[in-house]
Order: sequence, then structure tokens, then C-alpha cells
Amino acid sequence: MDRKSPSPLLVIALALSAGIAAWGIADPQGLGRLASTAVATQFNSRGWFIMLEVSGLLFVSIYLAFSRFGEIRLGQGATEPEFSTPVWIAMLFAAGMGVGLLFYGTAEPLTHFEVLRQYNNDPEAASYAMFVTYLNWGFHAWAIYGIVALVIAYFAYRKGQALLLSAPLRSALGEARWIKALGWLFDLLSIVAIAVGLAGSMAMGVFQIQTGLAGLIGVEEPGQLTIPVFIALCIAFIIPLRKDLGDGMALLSNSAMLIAVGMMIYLLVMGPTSFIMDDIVSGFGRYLFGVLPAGFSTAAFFDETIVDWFHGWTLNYMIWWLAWSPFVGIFIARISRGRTIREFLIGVIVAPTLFSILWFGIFGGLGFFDTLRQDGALSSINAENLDATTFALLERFPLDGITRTATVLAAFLFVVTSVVSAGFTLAMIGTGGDENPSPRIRTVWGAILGALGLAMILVGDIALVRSIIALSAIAFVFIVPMLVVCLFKSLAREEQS
Amino acid sequence: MSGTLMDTVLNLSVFAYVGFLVWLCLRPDP
Repeated sequence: MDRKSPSPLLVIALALSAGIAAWGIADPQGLGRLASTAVATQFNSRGWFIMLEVSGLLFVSIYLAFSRFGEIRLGQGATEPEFSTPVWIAMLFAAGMGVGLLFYGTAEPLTHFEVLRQYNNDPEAASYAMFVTYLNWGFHAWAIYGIVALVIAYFAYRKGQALLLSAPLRSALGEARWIKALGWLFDLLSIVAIAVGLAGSMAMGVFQIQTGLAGLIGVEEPGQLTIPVFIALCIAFIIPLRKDLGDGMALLSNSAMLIAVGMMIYLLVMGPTSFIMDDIVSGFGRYLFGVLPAGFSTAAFFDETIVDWFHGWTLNYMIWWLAWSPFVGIFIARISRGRTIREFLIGVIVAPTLFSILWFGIFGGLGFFDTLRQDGALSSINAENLDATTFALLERFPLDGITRTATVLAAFLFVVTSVVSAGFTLAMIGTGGDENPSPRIRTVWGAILGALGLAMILVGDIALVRSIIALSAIAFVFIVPMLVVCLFKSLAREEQS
Repeated sequence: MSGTLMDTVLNLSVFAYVGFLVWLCLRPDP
């Protein structure tokens, strides 16, 4: 039995996360309101800086990929990549794909459309709605992940440091007391951001699974299924946290991804294929040539409706990606040893973005086909309940019993595999970089993630859940640029030596 | 704290942070 006493970081991180969970369970609306007010204040005052930063990260990625630094390998000597390029890219998709894509595939473009059609004619509003969706899920999102993952991988595999956010600080800036303290704070904040972000994703998964399941088994009120679904999820993720299932988890994650990809292809073939392809090509072109200036959008000259919409979606997404960046960054770093900085950044930023364009092009395109060419019923359903949009779309196609069951299953698997992976990552950070943390610590994290998930479910409103995630991650707006400074200082030193 | 004052404080803290980043970049290596 492990008799080492737990580190202060682990104890404080557990206490802080448990405290947030307890607060959320005792007073979910209070927590939601506080997060909503605090995040609105931050977005109003610092929105410009967030957009400037995420655009800056994209430019830094482009520079690093195509400069002389691009040839540096993430490993010692001539380390070969652990995974072949196709397998690596498939794993990147798995990291980025999650319950969010299933949830927002059709719902997000249609929601943007309803706002934008108040200011534009319908075709322009639809085209711009697709553009904004691509902006939210595209190059900027993956540049955030890519840069954080690159910093972690560079310091881990080239400098022999642990897979932690504190490692770059110590390695590049020295061992002064204030730097150690800052590094400790980075690790603590990354734990909180991962835990709260995951819990939010769990809540979103539960909302979607209960809605889909209620339609399948004929339950009038999906809310009746909240607790059974939540308990089933908890049982499903506690087992692999207690006992290492090895490749079993990868198999589950790949199965969820295969279901999602299969459904995407099925809808492309069974739906109005030429309309969807038109929409993908025109959306891709508009995105490709408009993405860099759009990254600097701040909605400065618009009315309150547009400002609220911009804060609630684009700014919120950018913070969301920052919230997930330690978790996804550590995962990407772990699978990328031996790649050059150039292939790493191009792979991490371009491949998943192209996938997002296809995904939203198909799901969003089907939503617009219904809205612009048919009766528009999907838009009405979407306006009432975002959770129901994907299922309402699937009901319009043959074999909808199978596709809706597959969606519920994929959402379930996405949530379970994410929580298990997060349990490992949280335990790893809390133990100072131990890549095989004990099952006991993993299980404790699993229990806390479950409690946080319950708190988010009790909050009930997905907009408030997003605010709580944003609040937990706001510090990363200031952490990530410091990591970039550490990377450049270390690269410069490496070049000199 | 009034909204405008809070806004100013939040923005000034961003400027200070950018200054800190510049100092970090220029700081000699340990």
C-alpha cells in the first residue's frame, strides 16, 4: 500500500474541487448566477484581450511551423514517432471530438442563424452562421490546444521535465521561489479548470442522453431520466478508474468516434447530398479567406443583442478551449513524442479543423436545408430545446431508431472515456507528474468529478454551465502567454548552444 | 465598485500583465 503522504497540491486541489461541487449541489442557481455575472464583467472589459490572444496564438503556431524551429524534433536525438501518422491523426480527432460535436452539430448553426437573420436576409444569415460556427470550432481552437500541447511536449521530451504546466516555468525561468510558487499555482488552476470543464461536459452529455433516451423509450418528461442516466455514467467511469483496463478505454473511445463518423457519412449520403456539398465548399472558402480578420472580432460597434450573442458564443468558446487546453494538451503531448514541431502543429491544427468543417457542414447544412427549403420545424425545436435538435434531425431519416440509439451510445461513451482520461490526468498532476497514479487517487478524483457533474446538472441551464466553465478557466488567459514566453526563451537558448 | 472603475481596473491589470510579459522576455536567463 502506498504510505507516502499526499502532496499539499493534491490536498488543496481536492478540497477546492470538492468545495465547488458542494456549493453547486447546495445552491446551483447561486453558483450559476455568480459565474454568469463574473464572466460577463470579464468579457465586457477583457474581451478584446482574449480575441487578441487567441489570434496571437494562431500566428505563433504558423510562425513556429514554418520557421527554422519547425525542424526541431519533440524528443532526444532521432526519436521516431510512437504512432504512425494516420493513427496519430485519428487519435487527435478522438481528442477533439466529444459530446460537444454531437450536441451542437445542428443546434449551433441554427442558433446563430436565428440571431443573424434579424440583421441580414436569410441566405446571408445562413452563410454567416456557418462561418461563425467554423470560427468557434476551427483553427483558433486548435491553435490553443496545439500551443499548450507543444509547450508541454517540448519540455517533457526535449528537456526531460514532467508533463505539467509548472515544468516549462522552472525549466525556462529558473528555480526562484516566486517562479516555483507560480508553477504550483499553474498546476492547481489547471486541475480546477480540467475538473470543472469535464463536469460541464458531463452535464451536457446527461442532458443529451436523457433527451434521446426519453424519445426512444417513450418517456414524456426527459428530466425523469436525469438521475438514472447520471448513476449509470458514474458506475461506468468508476470501474475503469479503479481497475486499469489498458487498451479497453481506447477501444471504447474509438467505437464512439466510429459511430459518430458513420452517422456523419450516413446523413451525407441519405440527405440532400449536393446541397450539403455546396454548403461545405462555400463555407470552407468563406472561412479560409475570412478566418484571420474574424479572429480579431470584438463586436465593438453592434447593439446589445449582437454583443450578448458574441460573448455567449465566440468568446465563451475561446475560454472553453483554454479551459480544456491543459487536459487535451497533456493528451496530445503524450501521443506526439518524436514528431517535429512543424508536423506536430500542422497535424494538430489543420486535420481536426478540416474534420470540424465537414461535421458542421453536414449537420448544419441539414439544419439549413430544413429551414430554408422545407417547413423549418427544426429551427422551432432548436429554439425551444437545444438538447433535442440532433434527435429531431435524425427522426427525419430512415432507420432513425438505430441512429438515435447510436447517438445516445456515442454520447455515453464520449462522456465515460473523457472522465476516465481526466481522472488519470488529474491524479497525475496532483501527484507531481506520476504517470501511473494509484487507483485510490484516481477513484477519489472520479468521485469528485461525479459530484461536480451533479452540481452542473442541478444548475440545469446550459448557458449557466458554460459560464461556470468560463469562470474556472479565466486564469488561463494569463497562463498560456507565459507558457509561450517560456517556449521561445528555451528555443532561443537551444539555438545558441 | 462602480462599473466604469471596475472596467478601468480590469484593463489596467491587462496592460500591467503585458508589461510583465515583456519584462519576462527581456529578463536574462538564470
